Amino acid sequence: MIAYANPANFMRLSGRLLPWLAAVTGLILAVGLYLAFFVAPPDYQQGETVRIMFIHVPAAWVASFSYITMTGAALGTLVWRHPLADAAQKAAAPLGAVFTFICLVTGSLWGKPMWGTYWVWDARLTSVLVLFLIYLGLIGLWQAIDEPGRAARAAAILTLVGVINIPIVKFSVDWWNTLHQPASVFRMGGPTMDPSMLWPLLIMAVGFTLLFVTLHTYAIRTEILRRRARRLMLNAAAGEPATQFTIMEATP
Amino acid sequence: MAVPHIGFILAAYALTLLVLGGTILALVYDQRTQKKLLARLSRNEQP
Repeated sequence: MIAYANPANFMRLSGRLLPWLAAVTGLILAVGLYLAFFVAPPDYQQGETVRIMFIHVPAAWVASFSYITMTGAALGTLVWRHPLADAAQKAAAPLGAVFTFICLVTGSLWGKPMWGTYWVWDARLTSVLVLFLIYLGLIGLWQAIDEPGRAARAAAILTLVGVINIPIVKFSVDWWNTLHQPASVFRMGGPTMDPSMLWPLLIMAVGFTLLFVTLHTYAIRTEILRRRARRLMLNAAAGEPATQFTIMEATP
Repeated sequence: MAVPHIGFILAAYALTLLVLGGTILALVYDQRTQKKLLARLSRNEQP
């Protein structure tokens, strides 16, 4: 496992893995969308509007999953000072922001016909908005500090501070009186949803998770290339001789 | 028969597709840019 944490090994392995990962992701999302639109029945109360759930809930799940991934990488940065952990942290933040944005907007578009409003300042919606703002803050922090090592350590500390928001997002519907419904899938006592809706939802959640893993792996590769380019530019600026690096090392 | 709230459903899916599509395009563009830059820098470093 440690061997694959070496950036050169990671580039080789991920280069071979990525096309398969992308193909499986596409297949699972296609099956999930088919089930969501043509197999899952309309809800007895919400009617066809319930179909928004098949993208809203997976996006919400990945919004948190992305942050947990980033937290693991932040520990890798602070404890082991591993450059791959730095790259994984940096690559996850924009993706987390994208999935959180999708969660917020699709939730808003679901809320208007069901609740009569696009937005309400209840605990679940507000904590997800805070999650989105933390992602934006982290992206800003990465942009603000030139030296990647320093940026990684600063971002790791902010990530570890911000992780307190993840249980708040999850349990907000239990801890406070919210307009947002309580958990209906991951809860004590099992899901409350009918299997005809639960299975399409779970398949879409797997599809979204794989999409995140695929995009994250791809973005980590880009980050490794960016760091190599930066190193070459610094060497050139310092007038040092050519490194052992070749473009073949960077591309599969 | 018209589906109630169809506009909200379509908007949610269209927006998700647009945002994810845009993200994928941005990631691909970024990686291509870095590969080109690396190739150029590697050529310049050859003795």
